[in-house]
Amino acid sequence: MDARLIAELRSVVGAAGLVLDHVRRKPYEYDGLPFKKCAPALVVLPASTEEVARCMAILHRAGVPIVPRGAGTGLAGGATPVEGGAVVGTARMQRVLEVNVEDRFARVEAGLVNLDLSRACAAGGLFYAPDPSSQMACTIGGNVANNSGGPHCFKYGTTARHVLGLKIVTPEGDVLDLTEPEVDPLGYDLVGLFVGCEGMFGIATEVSARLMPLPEVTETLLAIFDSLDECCESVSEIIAARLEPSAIEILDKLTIRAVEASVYAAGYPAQAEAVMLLESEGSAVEVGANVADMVAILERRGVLEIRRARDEKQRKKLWAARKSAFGAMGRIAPDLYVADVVVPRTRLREIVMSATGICARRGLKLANVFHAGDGNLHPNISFDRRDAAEVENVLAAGREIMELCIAAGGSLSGEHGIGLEKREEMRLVFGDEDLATMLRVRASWDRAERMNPGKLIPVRTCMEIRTTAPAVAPAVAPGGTA
Amino acid sequence: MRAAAASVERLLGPAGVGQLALGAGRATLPLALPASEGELVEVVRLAARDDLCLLPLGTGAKLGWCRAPRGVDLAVSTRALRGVVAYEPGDGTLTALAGSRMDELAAAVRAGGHHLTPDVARPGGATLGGVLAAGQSGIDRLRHGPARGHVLGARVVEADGTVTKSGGRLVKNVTGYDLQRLYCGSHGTLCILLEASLRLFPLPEHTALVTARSARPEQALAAARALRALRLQPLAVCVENLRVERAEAPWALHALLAGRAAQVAWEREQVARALGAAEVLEGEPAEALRDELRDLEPAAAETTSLHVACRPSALEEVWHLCRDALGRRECAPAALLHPGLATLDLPVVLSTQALAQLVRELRAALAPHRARLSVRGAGVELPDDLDPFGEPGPGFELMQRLRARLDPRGRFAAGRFHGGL
Repeated sequence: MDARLIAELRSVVGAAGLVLDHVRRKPYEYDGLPFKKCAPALVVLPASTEEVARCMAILHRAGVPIVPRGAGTGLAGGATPVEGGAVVGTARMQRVLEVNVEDRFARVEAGLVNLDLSRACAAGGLFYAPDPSSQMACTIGGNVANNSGGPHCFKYGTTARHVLGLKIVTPEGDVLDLTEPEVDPLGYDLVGLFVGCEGMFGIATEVSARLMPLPEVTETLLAIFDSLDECCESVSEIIAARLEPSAIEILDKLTIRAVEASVYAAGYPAQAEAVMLLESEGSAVEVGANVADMVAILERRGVLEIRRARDEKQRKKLWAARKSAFGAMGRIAPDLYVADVVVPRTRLREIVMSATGICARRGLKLANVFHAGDGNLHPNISFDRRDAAEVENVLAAGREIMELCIAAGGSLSGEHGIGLEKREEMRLVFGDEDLATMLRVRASWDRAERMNPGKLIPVRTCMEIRTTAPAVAPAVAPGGTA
Repeated sequence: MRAAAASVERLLGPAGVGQLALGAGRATLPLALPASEGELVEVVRLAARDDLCLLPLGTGAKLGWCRAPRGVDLAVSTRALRGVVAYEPGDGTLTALAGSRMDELAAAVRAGGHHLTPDVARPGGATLGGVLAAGQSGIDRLRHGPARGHVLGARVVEADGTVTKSGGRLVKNVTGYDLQRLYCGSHGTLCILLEASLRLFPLPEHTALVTARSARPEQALAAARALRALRLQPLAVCVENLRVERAEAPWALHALLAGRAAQVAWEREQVARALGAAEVLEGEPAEALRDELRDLEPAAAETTSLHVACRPSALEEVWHLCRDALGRRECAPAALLHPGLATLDLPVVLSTQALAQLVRELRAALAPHRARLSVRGAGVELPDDLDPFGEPGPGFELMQRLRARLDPRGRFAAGRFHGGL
């Protein structure tokens, strides 16, 4: 990297904000996707919006590609660096700037850890709803880039529904202050469009996040089944009955065993084929009515046992087992491929069975953890990355599961995003023309296409394939698609 | 324009052409009424070939939210593209064609136990495409948030006649950019919506409406503040003096409670206690009044109104500023306020010049309170230097670039939206 450029950046962020040393740059070579790795030319860690803007302007003038990074917990390679590029991280921007209890929003810096936001507003009786499993590490800015989900998004929706405003630094280094939590946007909804852009439009440095009143009562149920099939069917029935629990999570047998063998053991019985975590939030009256109806469904479906978490300590223990499930999988194999697919909720059971069949045929170990209420599956395939053939087998199984889900009316990603991992699979869902529109929207933000290049859009979609006025209009059948 | 009408008639036959009246004293536009997706695509391609400027619409109920159309050759309505494409009660999602009427869609999903949001005013005269394109909210906004948060995916016709899609039909999906959110509230300036998928909500088991009347709006707003402090989850809370039932107490605060029967009963007790002497309706009468309150939103085709949005904490102050400004013009202070959302709808009857002066004065007064005022209504021709939505803010250049990339020839609704987008 050019010495003059480095000196310029250092004059903005100081020595503490630059990571040049080969060893210290190592952790930035990949994110939560272990297959893709690339050493960044440098890592910049600005401490304010102004510093981000100045760094972006410098990098823009120098024509350096930029990969934004929060905590690097993303699982789709969205923060994987590019050759010769800079990583711009928000790790030094973690301040809570404002908690407005009356208007129910908080303004925070993008590098704030997700869980710290709810902690910061708990005294005001409020909380921030999106809760990815990595919420102890992942950042609000990263959540914005990925439109992250979490167990409680079943009731409250993903990040997009909770972002009221943003401060965005454009690829050229201009600051767009859209932090005012407007009822409706003035003009186009730039904030809504930015959420989920996977770092390809700019860097969000501040987030105005919607806060919600803490529920009066939260009741957590753990339902133990001797059949994964019945467990899945219960979910479909609960959704069809429109009972609106705040979360419905399922863990299968292999996951239960891994969790129980780990420090997070929650006392799940070893003979269980599946467990379901159900949570209901609201007033005591509402929770009471919902829980009674859900229990009736579970009993009709032959549940073995229902445990109810009565206090906060018990509740946290039940959830700890779920939230640490991925970590606990380390006991089964050195590496874990965490797939993330989404299917119509009516087809949950069928897809889980088929995915299990795919892995069984390939001789792979599959553990299922999923946000059942949203139809968001996380088939986790264990492997050892040192075994090249096994890696290939795992990726092929992942692709087969993805194709299966799409054929069933599902999609590529429920919450992890596309990143590098599923970039080429975008073609399974979108045609050239859909992708060309996405490219044009992207070019409106980033004319030089230097923000997080090579992510989300398949590589071959690099041409403007359309003209505005086709010379000859192709024939169209009445009612058909052009 | 005559040539455009003739070309459309050749394409769609006589049944596919009509006229759009733009209001008293204004010209009419030829109106294309394609009856299928293929026909709509053909109309857009025709426009591309003949270099026509199109005005996309559903029923046209919200055309008055934007500037009056100028330089438009042909209006094109999706109202004949009607029908449910997919409704699977077990999934809780609905996919429907853009021209589907909101009341018909609501009835279709009600049969499966679902509630369609947004529950907009006069749903029999509004199409799904029109509601989404205008970014319209309904009476249920307080609980469910804006419709753009529940649009799961869309299929659209772009300016060159290409059909593209974004998102999907699933309740949770992060595959590709959320272009459907961008299209919501873009007033037909980026594309024409063909089809959209929405997330549905459980149909409430029971509905109750608690009303407290007062002589002065300040009392009603204070009561609304007390309700907010209770941290309940009403479907709607509104304050209004548009349907005066008691002359000595023209202002009413309505709290609309909906959900599980036990929950509604409990909330009703809490609300009634907080409001003191209050009238309570339950079940069908409550639902009837809910619909009446929903339909109080001023109809842009008939009424000119100010729509003001601010932070909830600024509502009282903003109301006082609006009331005083209207009072100085001897306008009766008629209002529909949603305190939880912090929006105010104020019907006004003023000459164009007086309206322009009022808007300028109020915008200046409201700015320190971070409140934003837009003008809605047919028949209003604001001066060129007065934007119905407000002065362009940060991000406007980016909006221009988005528009230029998605509709490079300015084929759609050119110049009508915010800042001439």
